[in-house]
Amino acid sequence: MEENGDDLDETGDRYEDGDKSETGDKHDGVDELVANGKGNVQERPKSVPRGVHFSDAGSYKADARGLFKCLESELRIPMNQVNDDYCDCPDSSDEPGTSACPHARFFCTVQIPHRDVQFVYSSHVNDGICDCCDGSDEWQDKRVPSNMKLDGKTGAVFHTPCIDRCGDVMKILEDEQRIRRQGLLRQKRYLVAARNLTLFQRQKYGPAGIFYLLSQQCYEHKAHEYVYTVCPFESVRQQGTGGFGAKTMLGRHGEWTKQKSGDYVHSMRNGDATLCPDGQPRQTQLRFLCGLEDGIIDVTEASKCRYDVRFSSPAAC
Amino acid sequence: MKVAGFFLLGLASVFSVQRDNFRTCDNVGFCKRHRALEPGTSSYAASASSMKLNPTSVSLDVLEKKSDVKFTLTIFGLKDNTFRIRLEEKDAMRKRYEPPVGDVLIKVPEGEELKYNGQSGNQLTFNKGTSRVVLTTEPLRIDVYSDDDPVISINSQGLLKFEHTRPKPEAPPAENQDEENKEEAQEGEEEQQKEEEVKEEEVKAEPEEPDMWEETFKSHTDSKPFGPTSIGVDISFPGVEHVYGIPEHADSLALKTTKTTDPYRLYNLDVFEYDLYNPMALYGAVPLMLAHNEKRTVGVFWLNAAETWVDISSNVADKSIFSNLADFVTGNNEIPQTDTHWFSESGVIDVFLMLGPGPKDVFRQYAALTGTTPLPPLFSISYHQCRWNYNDQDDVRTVDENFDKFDIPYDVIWLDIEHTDGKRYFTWDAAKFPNSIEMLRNISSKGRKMVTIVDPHLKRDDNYKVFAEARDKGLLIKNKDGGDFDGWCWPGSSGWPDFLEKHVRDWWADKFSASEYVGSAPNLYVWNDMNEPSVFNAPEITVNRDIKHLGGWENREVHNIYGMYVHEATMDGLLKRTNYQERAFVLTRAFFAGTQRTAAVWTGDNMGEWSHLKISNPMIMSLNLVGITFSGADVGGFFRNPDNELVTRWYQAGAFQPFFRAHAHLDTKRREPYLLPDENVKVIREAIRARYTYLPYWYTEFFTSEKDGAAVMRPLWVEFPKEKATFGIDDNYMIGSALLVRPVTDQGATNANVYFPGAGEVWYDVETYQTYKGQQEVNVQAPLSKIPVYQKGGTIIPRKMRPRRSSTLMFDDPFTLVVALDPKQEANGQLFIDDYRTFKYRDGAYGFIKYSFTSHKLHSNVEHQGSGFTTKEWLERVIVVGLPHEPRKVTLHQSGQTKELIFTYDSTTHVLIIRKPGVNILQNWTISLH
Repeated sequence: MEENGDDLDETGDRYEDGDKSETGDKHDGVDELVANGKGNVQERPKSVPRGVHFSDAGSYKADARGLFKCLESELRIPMNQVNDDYCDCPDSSDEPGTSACPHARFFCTVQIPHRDVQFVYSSHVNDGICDCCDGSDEWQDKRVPSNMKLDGKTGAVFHTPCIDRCGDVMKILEDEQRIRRQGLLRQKRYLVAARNLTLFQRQKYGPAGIFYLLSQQCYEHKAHEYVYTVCPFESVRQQGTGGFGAKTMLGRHGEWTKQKSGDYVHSMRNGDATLCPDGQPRQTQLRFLCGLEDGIIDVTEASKCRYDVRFSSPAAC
Repeated sequence: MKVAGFFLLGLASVFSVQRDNFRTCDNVGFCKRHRALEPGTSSYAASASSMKLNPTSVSLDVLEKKSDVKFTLTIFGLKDNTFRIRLEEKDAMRKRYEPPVGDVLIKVPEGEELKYNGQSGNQLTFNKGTSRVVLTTEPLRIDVYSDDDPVISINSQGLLKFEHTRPKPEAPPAENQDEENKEEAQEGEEEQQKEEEVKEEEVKAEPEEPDMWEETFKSHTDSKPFGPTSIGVDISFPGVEHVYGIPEHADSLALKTTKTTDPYRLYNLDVFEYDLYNPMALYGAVPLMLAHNEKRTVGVFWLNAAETWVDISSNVADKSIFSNLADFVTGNNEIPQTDTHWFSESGVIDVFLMLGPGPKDVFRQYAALTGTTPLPPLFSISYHQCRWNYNDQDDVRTVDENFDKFDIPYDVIWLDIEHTDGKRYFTWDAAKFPNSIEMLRNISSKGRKMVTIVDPHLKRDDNYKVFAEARDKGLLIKNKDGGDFDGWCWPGSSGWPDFLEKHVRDWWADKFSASEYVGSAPNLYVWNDMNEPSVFNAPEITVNRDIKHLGGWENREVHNIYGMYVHEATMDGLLKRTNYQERAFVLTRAFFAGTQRTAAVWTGDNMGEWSHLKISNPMIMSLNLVGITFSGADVGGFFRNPDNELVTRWYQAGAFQPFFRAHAHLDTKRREPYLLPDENVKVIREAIRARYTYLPYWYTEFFTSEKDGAAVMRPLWVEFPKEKATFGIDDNYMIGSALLVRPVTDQGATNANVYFPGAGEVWYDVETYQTYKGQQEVNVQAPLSKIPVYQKGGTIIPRKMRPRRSSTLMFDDPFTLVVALDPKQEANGQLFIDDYRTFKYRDGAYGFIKYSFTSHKLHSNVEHQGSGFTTKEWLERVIVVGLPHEPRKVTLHQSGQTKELIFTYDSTTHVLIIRKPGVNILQNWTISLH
């Protein structure tokens, strides 16, 4: 008979929130991060059960009778049934380290500080795809069916055997942070430009009117057969490349629909309605992302007459 | 995908079918002529003295007495309670089209001895097994008896009409006429009216037979060079009140009488925003009808590829002839009867009578004629994400990533027509898909696939290689004057390869090779749309009837089979890529009898409305009844923007229909499941996951259906043929023999009426294990999160409870067995496993395990394990439902060893959960409850 479970780590702390948001919690603070291998990553101690975040180890300790209490039900199970590759708890809490429960989360052994908490859904554990940068979610080291590799090459994801990619991830993070730091340094210009605006006027241009400077200029972007002209806070227009055809208004004026650090969305409405479904006017969402230069990253039209412009600017850092 | 109307109507808010684009019976000469016939004495007579007896068939001369035209009638005895009856013209001026053997019929059907049992008066009797055929020579009539019960009567109403070939009577010289036609087509209505007046004058010469040599519909004139060629006859089912089948119609499962409507029409058409509950033709046609009563199911297969109409009426049986009927219709003086009347524009009369006696016997008998659906690769019965259109590679990547981010499984992402370079199929829009191989590799790395659309219309562009080649090699269908047919479809002016020809199909198949279809990859599969074929600027949005196929046939003779040849050639191309090692997937919109062998079918361009969600069940069931088991409807509805509740309910329904794909029109808002509010995302995630948990059951059902042709999505009466209350039900259905499904299809509903069939049966809610007794209707709670699904007591269903990103990634995940006990505390089930993707199972490389629960013991019995076939899949859980008492102990016995298993028992729900037997799934063992 096969045993498909794995040895169990006996103790641990409880992760208090079993129902995290989709992207996990953000560690606050802007501490300096140095990407020097594993030097400053946090690693789950051996004493914490596999897949449990080290800060939650307390919840995975046996009670006086040597039982584990499911986190969100009164059910208690023998401690050796935690992480034994069989789902006992209705809330999925007894299998943090396996794929046995449908709604569990596996916290990667290596956690990179100052980043989203690194976890993968239980559906991603031991499926042959390395999701944690340290590959800890693939501890059974299963191989995917060979036909998943086209021409023998891997694609968007890494297949087992996993290699440690945490250094790469930290490097990307470091780049992001460097851009953010540099962006912050460049914000002064934007704040100064908005200095003479009234408080009321400033509101139109984001926190302290920081996006005001962008409203003083129009930006062009070519995508497939169109040229887009974005005049932030005024208008967005589209024209066939080479000046082909009439200019179509994709949205004007508008209002902020999201305004928090890293997520600024300005919705522009009342564009042209010609050829749109049900005669509804075109709309454009202007999404500002942290970047070192002002400019359009891309324009997409996921649904007909609904446009998304991603706009890079230090003002969004 | 989409339809012609989009083009023709522009963006106008026209919310229903443009009925006047399509002919009604009144616009169709042969329909009028056949429908005008009154029941009475047939003018056809068989000559007993001409009888030629063969071991498995008999043939006789038949004379039409008014015209003196001779016909040959042949009655064949076929294996497995089946007869075939053919009537063809003896000295025809022109050969009539019959689909070549191998194309619809998979082979010449095997004969069975037909014994001549002598003549009595004007009746000749032929026996075969427990059935017999009584042929009345004059007036010609055929009665078929099964176990002494009359089951099918042919020409008992005397409606037989076979329009013999004839020379064209005096007519204007052909060339002039052609010129006139062209002018008429251009000059519009005024001219058209004049033309009709002229026609009326012609008609006077032969008033009973209008429209014989030319017909006009809207601005189109059908030249009809061969004149009237239609055929038709009545077929009655004594003792029957319910008939089913003859898809495709947007109508109830049980067919209705057509006294006050047009007959059910079978003519493959692209119908923009089709209306519900009417007999209009849609995209495909299978001329197979099933007639059912408490005692018996029979099938009639009308093998004809031309436009066909079927009238249905309720009648009362002639008791003097059918005295035996009284035996089972006791206490009722009037014996019901359903009369049907079939007529086709051309071809011969070629009818297969399948005498059952059970519904599953008819499935098998029809499967012996036209084949079955081969086991689909696992990914294809998983969830498909489609939209017109995912715009570019970034779009595809974003959708793909979002499914993972929201932990919702999906297997296949689809690209509609916009992915091509100007609607030139087999190409990519270079700006939007600059590196399709990379995109395909990326989705493949998660076990996922892609489907691209490849339609049969080829853009007339000398620089488009596929078109230029087809034209230069002479592979395109011709107009009536012999030039290449030129019609409008998505790319504008287009040509259509003539898929009727084997060499054209072979040429097409080669287009799917990696070297020809540049930018494709082994995980790319194909969708054939618009293959009725749809032609925007032609009559009824399809090719003119008088266009010429390469073999000399007019489209009128072959119309309904064209689409099947398209998808057959496509499937062959995909299989060729791997030298027939890997199974493939093709989706088609047009279909015919035999389509089940090479494509899945969807119900075309439905609407995002509750009524369309509701109709999806009978429409898919009707397809299942005629062998097209792998079928589904666009989840969410193609046209319009469904609200969140409707999208959610539609996912719940689709998760329990055989082909499960979401699709949406270009003009709709995005509605990928993760874009909905949290509450809906959660419910849809669970619905899609539920589909994945039942994949082992679906897969096993498809495996057995490949062998026996049985419907996978079954009307209740298929499982409970004696229970009359089920005969009209089409909002509840079965998947296989074990699962009862009642999707919620009403807006705002929080309850649903579920009919639990079967006296003495017990049913269990698959989530709560609540118990329901059979043969009653119950109003159950059905809040938005609830899909009313029930497992029948006495069945064992294998499931895989661990969600994954895609079905491929479930490769060695463990199984859960759900043992639902019947009142005798017994249950049976089975499981088929293989590599989930290749044809190796045909060489025996698979596992087949039978499960039985009896006397408190669950046995796993490996019935088949192919040499060299192994698996890492294992058994993680056994759930025994309906167990009244808690066992003291549960033990596993295997290879002489015994191990005690941990279990939990819930005394309120009577459910025992046995923890982690841990055995490999491909092993024999017994679990004992003590």
